[in-house]
Amino acid sequence: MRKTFVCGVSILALAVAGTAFAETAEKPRSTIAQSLTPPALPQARVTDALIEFPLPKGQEKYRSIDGKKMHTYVEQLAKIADRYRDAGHPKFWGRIIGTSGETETNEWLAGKFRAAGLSDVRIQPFDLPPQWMPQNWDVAISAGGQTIHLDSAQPDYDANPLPQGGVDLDAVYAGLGTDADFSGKDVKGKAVFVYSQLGTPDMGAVKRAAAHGAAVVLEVSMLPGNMRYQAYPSGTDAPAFTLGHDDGVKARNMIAAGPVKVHVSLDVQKVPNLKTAMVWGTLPGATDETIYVTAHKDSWFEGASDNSSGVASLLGLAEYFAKVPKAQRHRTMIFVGLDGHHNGSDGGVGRRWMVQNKATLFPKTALFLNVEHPATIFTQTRPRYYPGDEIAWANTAMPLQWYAGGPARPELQSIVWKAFKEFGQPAVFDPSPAPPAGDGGPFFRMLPTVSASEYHSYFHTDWETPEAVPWTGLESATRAYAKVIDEVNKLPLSALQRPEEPQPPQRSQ
Amino acid sequence: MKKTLIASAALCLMTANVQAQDKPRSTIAQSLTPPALSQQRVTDGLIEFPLPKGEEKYRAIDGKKIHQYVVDLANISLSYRDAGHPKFWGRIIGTESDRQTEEYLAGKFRAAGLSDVRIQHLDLPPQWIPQSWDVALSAGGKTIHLNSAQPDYDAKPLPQGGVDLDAVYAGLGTEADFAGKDVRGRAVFVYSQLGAPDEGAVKRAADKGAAVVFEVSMLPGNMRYQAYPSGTDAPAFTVGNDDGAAAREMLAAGPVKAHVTLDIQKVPNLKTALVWGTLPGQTDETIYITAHKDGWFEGASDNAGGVASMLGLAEYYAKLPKSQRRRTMIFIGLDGHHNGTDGAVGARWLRANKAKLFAKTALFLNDEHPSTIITQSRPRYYPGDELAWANSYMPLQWYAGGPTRPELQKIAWSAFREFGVPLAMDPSPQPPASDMGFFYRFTPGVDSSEYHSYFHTDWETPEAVPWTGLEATTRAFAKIIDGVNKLPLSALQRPEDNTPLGPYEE
Repeated sequence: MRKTFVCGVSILALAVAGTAFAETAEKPRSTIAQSLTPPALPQARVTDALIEFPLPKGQEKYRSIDGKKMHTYVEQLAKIADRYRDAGHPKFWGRIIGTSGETETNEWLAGKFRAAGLSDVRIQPFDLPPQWMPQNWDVAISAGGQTIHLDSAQPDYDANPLPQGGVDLDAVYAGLGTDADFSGKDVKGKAVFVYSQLGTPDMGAVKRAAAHGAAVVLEVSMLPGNMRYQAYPSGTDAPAFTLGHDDGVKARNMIAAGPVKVHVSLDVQKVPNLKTAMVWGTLPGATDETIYVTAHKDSWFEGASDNSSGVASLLGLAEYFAKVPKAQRHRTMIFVGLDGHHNGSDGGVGRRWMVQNKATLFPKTALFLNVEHPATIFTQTRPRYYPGDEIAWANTAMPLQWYAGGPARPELQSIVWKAFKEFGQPAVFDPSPAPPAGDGGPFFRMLPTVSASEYHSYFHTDWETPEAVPWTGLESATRAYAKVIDEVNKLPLSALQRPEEPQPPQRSQ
Repeated sequence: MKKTLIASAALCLMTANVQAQDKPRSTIAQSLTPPALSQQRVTDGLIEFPLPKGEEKYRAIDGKKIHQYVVDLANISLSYRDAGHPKFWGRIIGTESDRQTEEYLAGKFRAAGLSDVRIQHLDLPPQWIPQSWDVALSAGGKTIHLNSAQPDYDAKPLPQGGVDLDAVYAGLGTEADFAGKDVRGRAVFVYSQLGAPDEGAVKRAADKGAAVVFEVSMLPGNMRYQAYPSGTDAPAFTVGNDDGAAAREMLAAGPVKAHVTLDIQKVPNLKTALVWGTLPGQTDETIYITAHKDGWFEGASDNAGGVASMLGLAEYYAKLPKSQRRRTMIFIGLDGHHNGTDGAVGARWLRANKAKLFAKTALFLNDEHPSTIITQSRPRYYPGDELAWANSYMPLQWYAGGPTRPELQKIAWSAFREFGVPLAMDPSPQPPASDMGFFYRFTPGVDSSEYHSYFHTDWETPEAVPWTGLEATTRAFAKIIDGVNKLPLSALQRPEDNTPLGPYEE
C-alpha cells in the first residue's frame, strides 16, 4: 500500500509539473495522474486500491470464489483478442465470431471446463451466414491545404461499403442532430457530423441525418479522449461511422473555420463459410432438473468487461460448484459459452439453436443465469470540478441493471436483490421489465432467467481493458450468483416455472 | 420487498397504459417528480458497509441518525420556500432561513454537550435576491412558459416589464454552432449536460451579442438548477431538459419570440453568521471541523449532508472523556460560499484571523457533500429516460494535505477504504471546489466532496443522501481525526503556500 501511495504521489507531482509546462503550449487534458492512453491506471494500482466488500458472517463457504483469480481469466481472454489484432487485423478486432480469435477462445474455455472437472465438455460448431468484415477504411478531412486523418473512425456494424476508391464529400456540422440543428441546412450527398454522448438524450441524429440525404454520417462520441467505439447497426443505407471526441473536435473546428472536404473509404467483405461454436460443460447433480449458466464469449476489442468478465465469472461459478459434492448439488448444472450476439441478424446462431431445442433442453430448468458484464470499474465522465477532462476512475465497481424472473416470480426477484445486497454488489433500485440488453433476451419469456449487466463508459471501445474490470466486482457479483443458485435450489420447480409468454412479432436486441 | 415488488408491478402496468398516449419517460418504477424514490424504499434498499473488525468503537456513528439532521435542514428550506419565496429559496445567507439554521445548529451543539457555543454575526454586502422572473416563448399563436428557468446567480436585471426578443437555437454553443447565425440582441438557447465537454457556450453567446442566454441542462427531467455567476453582462438562465426540448422543437418549426422578465434587488443590511462549538482537549493544539450551512433549494447533499456529518462527529467525540481527546476540537458552521464575492464573509474573517486561530492546528477537516446516492443519467439500455438510482453512494473527490503531507494523505486514503468510502483514485492537486479553498494553503486540510446529478437543483432532496454514505464517510473522518492525533504537529504543519488565490478566494 505504502509503495503504491508514494508512487501515486510522485506520479502526481510529475503530472502537475508536466502540466505546468504543457499549459503554455496547449490546454492539458489532465492535471491528475491518469494516463491519456489506455489503461488510465496500471493494473497494480487498481488491484491494490479497490475496496473489497467483507464476506458476510455465515457466508464463509463462498470465500473460495476469488476475484483476483477470476481476473486472471479476464486478462487471458483479452490477450486472445490482442493476438488476433496483432495477426494482421489492426482496426477491426476482438474475439470475433468466425475468426481465429473465436477458435482460440473456444479451445481456451473448453480447457478451463476440463481443468475444473466438468463432464461432457464439448465444442458444438455452427455454420454462420456470411459475416460483415470491414477490410479497410479511412476518413480524411481537408481544408486550406491541411489534411487530417480521423484515426478513431470505426464503421458501425453492417455498414454498407463505399465505392472502390472512396468518395469525396462536403462536410457539414449538424451539432446534436435534432430538427433544429438540421433546420436550414442542406446535407444531401454530404458527410454529416453529429455529436452525442452516453447519458445525453437519444436524439436519433444518425437516422435523421440519413433521412435528410447524408451520404455518410459521422457520429462523434463526446466522451473524453479519442476512443474507437464499435457501434451496432445504424439501420441506415448511408454508412455511419463513430468517431472519438478528439477527432470530432478537430473536425468541428475545421468546419467552423470554412469549407471542409471529406474523403471516406470503406471496403467491406461479406465472408462466407465461417463457423462459430458454443462450448458446453456439465456438473451432474442429484436430480435431472437443470440450472443453466451462460456467458457469451465474443467481444469487440479486448472486451474485458463485455464479456471476458462474464466468462470469467461463469468459470468462477463452475470451479466453485465443481468442488461441492454431487450429492449437495440439488440440480444438474450446465455451463454454456455462447457464441455471441454482437453481429445483428448474422449472429446469435447458438442461442437460436437453443430456443429451437427448448423442448429437449429446458423442460426441467429451475434457473437460466446469463452472466454478462458483471464487473466494471466505477467511472465518471468529467465530474464537476474534477481537475481533468477525462473519465475519472474510482476504487469500486459500477451498479448493475438487473432482471430476475419478472413480476411473476417474486421469490426469485427477492433472492437476487438480497444476494446482491448481502455481498455488496450495488444494483439499480428496480429490476428492468425485461433483461437488460444481452443473451437473456431470447430466453426470459420461457425460463426463470436472471441477468444483470453494466454498459458504461468503455463499452465496446478499445479502452475496455482488464484494468477496467475490478476484481472486487467480479468477486461480489459471482459470490452473489452462487448464493442465488443455492437459494433457487431450495425452491421447487413450481415456484420458478411459468407458462411461456408469447414472443413479440419483432424484438430488437 | 414483496410490497415494493407489487408496487413496481402496478407501476409497470400503469406505464404500459400511458404508453398508448405518449412515449413515457420511464418504464420502471421511479417517480417523475422529486424524489425519484420514497425515503423508505431508499433507506431499506441501501447497502451498509460492515464495520471492520477492530473498529467497533465507531459503531456509535449512526448513519440513520445523521440522516435525520439532513431531513431537519431540508425542512428549514421548505419552510422558507413556503413563506412566500417560491422560486429563489433554500438556506440562503441573510434570510430568515439562515437565522433558523443558525439556531438549529447552535441547539444541536448545545445538546451534544459542546462548550462555548455561540453565533457570531457578520455583516453582508448587499445581496442579490431575484424577486420574480418569467420566460415565455411564443410562436404560431401558442405561448409556453419555461417554468424551470432559473437566473444564474448575480445575473443583471432586465428593464421593468421585460424584453421581447427573437429566439435563436445555437445547439452545443461551439463556434461551429454559431457559424452563419446572427445572435445579436436575441435570446440564445444553448445545450449542455454534466459530463459533456465545457464548450464555454454561455460566454460565447454573450460575446457574440446575445441579449439573454438560456443554458439548457439535458439531464433527464425538468430540474431547476441554480448556477454560479455566468460572468456575462447579458443575463443567463438555466433551463431544464423538458423545457429546453420544448423550446428547441418550437425553434425548429419556425420563428419564435421570447418575452423575458427578471426583477432583481440588491438587499442591503443583511447579516449572516458563523456558529461555533468547542470540545476541549488535553492540549491547546486544535482540530477544526467545518461545514457550510447554506444551500440552494433543500440542499440535502450540499450541504445538509456535511452539517449532519459534522454533527455526527461532534456527538461522537463529545461522548469521549476529555482525557482521550488529545487536541481541542472546534466545530464551525460556516456561512457559505454560494454567493460569489458577496458571500463567504465568515471564511474571510477566519482567514483574516489565521494567526490567532490556527497557530497550533493539526487538522482542518471541511465536511462538504459527504454522501450522495449513485445516479446514472440515461444508462445504456436502461428502460427509462431518467436518472437511475442505485443502492449505494457515489465516490468522492478528495484532498488530504497535498503531496507535502504524505502521512496525512495516507491516513485519509486508508480510512476511506477501510470504511468502504470509494474515492477517485488520485487526490486532487487542490481541494475540490469548496470552503477548503480558503484554508488549505496554511492549514493541514482534508476535504472530500461529490457534485453529481442533483447538485444545486430542486431535486437535491434528503432521499438523494444515503444514510449509508453518511455513516461510512463520517466514520472515516473520525478515523482520520484519531490517526492525525497520533502525529505531532510537525508532521502536519507546513510553511504557507503562497500560490495566487482564485477569483472567489480573495
